[in-house]
Amino acid sequence: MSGEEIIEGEEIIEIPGKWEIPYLYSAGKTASKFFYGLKHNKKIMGTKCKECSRVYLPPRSYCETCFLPIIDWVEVGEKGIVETFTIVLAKFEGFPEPPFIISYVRLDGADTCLANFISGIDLTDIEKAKKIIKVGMRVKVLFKDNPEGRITDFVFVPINP
Amino acid sequence: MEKRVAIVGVGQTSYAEAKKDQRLEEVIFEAATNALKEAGIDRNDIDSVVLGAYDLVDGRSISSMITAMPAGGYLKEEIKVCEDGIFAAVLGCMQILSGRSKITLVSSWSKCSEINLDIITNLNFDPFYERPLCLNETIILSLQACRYMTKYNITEEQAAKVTIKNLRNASQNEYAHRKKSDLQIEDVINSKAISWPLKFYDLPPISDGACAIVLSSEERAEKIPGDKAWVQGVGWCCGGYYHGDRDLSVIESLEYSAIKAYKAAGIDKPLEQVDLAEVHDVSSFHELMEYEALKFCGPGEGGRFIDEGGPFINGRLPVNPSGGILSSNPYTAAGLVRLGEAALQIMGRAKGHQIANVNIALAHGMTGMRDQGNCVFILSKE
Amino acid sequence: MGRRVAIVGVGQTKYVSKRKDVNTPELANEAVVGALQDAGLKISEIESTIFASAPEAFEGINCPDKWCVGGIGAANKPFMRINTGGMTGGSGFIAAFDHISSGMFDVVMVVAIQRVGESPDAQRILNTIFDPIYEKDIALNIISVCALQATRHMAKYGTTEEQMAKIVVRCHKNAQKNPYSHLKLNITVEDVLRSKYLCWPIKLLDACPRSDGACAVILASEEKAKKITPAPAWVNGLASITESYYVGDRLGWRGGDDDFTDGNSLRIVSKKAYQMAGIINPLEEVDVAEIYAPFSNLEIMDIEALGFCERGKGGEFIDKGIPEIDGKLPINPSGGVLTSNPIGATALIRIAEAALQVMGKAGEHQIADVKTALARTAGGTNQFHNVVILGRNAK
Repeated sequence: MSGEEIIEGEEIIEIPGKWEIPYLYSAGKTASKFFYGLKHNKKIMGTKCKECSRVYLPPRSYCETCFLPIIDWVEVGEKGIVETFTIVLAKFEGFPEPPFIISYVRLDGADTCLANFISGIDLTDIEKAKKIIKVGMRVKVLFKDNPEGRITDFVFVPINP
Repeated sequence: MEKRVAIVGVGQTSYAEAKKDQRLEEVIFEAATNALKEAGIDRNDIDSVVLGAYDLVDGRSISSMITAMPAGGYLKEEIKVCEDGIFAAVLGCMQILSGRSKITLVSSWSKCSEINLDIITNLNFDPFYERPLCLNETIILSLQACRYMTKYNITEEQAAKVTIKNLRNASQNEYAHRKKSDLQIEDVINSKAISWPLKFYDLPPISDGACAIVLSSEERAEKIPGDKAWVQGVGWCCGGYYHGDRDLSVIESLEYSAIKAYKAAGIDKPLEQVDLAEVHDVSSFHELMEYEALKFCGPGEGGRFIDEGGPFINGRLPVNPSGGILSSNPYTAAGLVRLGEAALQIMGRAKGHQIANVNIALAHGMTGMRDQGNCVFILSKE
Repeated sequence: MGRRVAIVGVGQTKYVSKRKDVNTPELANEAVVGALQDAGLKISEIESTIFASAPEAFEGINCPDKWCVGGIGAANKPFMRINTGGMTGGSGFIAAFDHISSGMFDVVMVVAIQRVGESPDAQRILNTIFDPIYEKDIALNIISVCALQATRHMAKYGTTEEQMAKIVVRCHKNAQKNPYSHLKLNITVEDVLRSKYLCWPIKLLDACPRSDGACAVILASEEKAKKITPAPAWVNGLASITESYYVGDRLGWRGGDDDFTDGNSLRIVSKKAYQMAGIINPLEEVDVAEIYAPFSNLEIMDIEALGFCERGKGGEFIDKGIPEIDGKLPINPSGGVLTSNPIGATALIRIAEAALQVMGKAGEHQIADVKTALARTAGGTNQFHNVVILGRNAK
């Protein structure tokens, strides 16, 4: 596609824009109940499929393999295993200042893993930290003092710091 | 090559202003399980899922990552078409005709209560020439309605009849959102002005809801008991982007789509051969324009067609017996619902709003957040 | 089964950080013109167009496909847009295949584009793919999720950062011979290891660039393909699958076989594609592979899941030099995703590059005597997978 030749002295322009799109995501009954449990009871609850017995965390209201609704709730343990993690070292726009650790943890009693930050590991010396945090390490849940009913109400911390 | 595709099950959720107790995935799951149940099959029978959804309307980028599972997609082939759900059905048909799938579950949905469609549809406009002019879908529709009215002397009263018809029809549809069995012309004319000539009742509500359709190959359909709706023809087309390039009183891409669909189905006299139509009534005026593009009447005769009672339940060619989009608007799924409703009519499962003796039904869906893309299906009983 | 389909023409634009001189429809137009020229066809001969682009937040316009319609010659014809994240170009290709295999069309074009350069912050955009209710607040982005895959693979199989680095060095070296490539750095393994960490263990040089670019591929039915070109690339196998969304669901359930680090659903889909193409021993029968790996560690997982070596031996495969340009199975002779990544187009580029190899049109990065080429594409957090197998001869 050829347009007119740009005459010398004329600029090719860029127009700035920014999307600010408001959303109000409905959590639904199941997720709402999970967050209620965090906020008011400092407890983590999963849902259990009657057919395959899989305990889902975060909780789901349907089992995607059996394709059936799930209505049973179970409380899961406060401790679990780090199944994978990363140490975020670069600054990303809109995210907390690095360094910080993100991990997926399988809490005792759950079949799926839950994502959250890992705290309580000294990250001033990254090389040292890499020796401490490992796949397979045990961690426990630590709630903040005033939970708000959001996934950020708790973090994982090493059991034996 | 497979010869034909059948619709063997249709699932819907109710359409409502806000389904606050369900997250998006749960609404999708409900429609998908309903469709499988209607077809008498389960998820293991599916070969693929085809989704119709927009990232911004879903509020999640690459939204099928999260929505494929509740739509039955786990460990299946999955693909998302960023168009009205009726286009997902088009692709689903092609998957079956190519022999790669025997059963495809097509799903589409919207939770409009979670979003602001005006902001989102404003983002459809290019940032250089049009977005700063405060255009959005509603305003573009009103520009079209104005042109159509002016060119052909269509009146607001004629357009109001579309809304009255559709909301009355909706009162027989258990899933419908907006239902009014006794709306009068004055009610429509005096309703709140939105963007002239469009007023509150000339426009659809904004609804939460989902729809899913089970498509089957001919061979597989023989093993599924019950009536089917056979796809006899389909045509689709996308028109140009800039509205200033064309005459806004005509929906050309719909004309093209209808020509293709009619030809494939062997229809040359739609008014006589088609028993019923479910069309994408994105505004009351647009339904009148659609009668013309679909050749139910000539150019400029949309107003006369409704004055003469043509599209009413007991008219020559009932249009939108379900209530159409003017009654229920699960936005992205709106066109797929038209296909589902047309199929239900053919299969004799439209319950309270069933029309008698439906052998050939037409379904029309629109995409692109205005009338840029259109699709027409012709379904038959045999 | 449906009708045979072949690729008859390919067009690409040079991949760069940002094409300030064109708007999105104009960029797409360049790829389309290139593909038409390659195939020797006129735009009027294209019967239907499939448009592939991933999150529109990159272009900053909703439904960029509708804007591009005029620029790509698709107006007033059948048209639809596909979006499956990174796999978009591959899904668009499969949709185009179905358009023809179904018997509904004879010649179609798939156009794939992304303007990653229009927004200064790709990762912020990619944070919006996560579940807004349970996960978005955990500061996840594509880099961190791919890093999670790397740490787990390292823990399970002893994969090393050195092995990851070797992949990076090879891709950049290959890119020097590809006129379309974005990055073509002269680097060593030490350079990669010394580059700064983004999310451990992924370093800056283990990661793909942000690129603007477009690619167009023209497909035709058997009858038409034979008239259009003497050397089409026949689509002999293709398959596609999605696994679960939640990464937490894919970390081995009760020791089960659904660990995302093993790419098990890729394993399923590659077997399906191999079966369709009549391939029994992939390492022997596939001559070249274009693999979608925007981060180096993902190539290691893919090598295993595609059956080129046993599970857990991907690192060793790299150490042995098998995927080098002069190795037994060259991988990413084009330079791959580590050197050019216009996200929505990247998957189609893998297929286009595989086609160029089969058609003998890959220029300086042509591998000798390619009879069978494999393209593997991926989307989401390595959730969507597809495999396309192209052949010089129709199966």
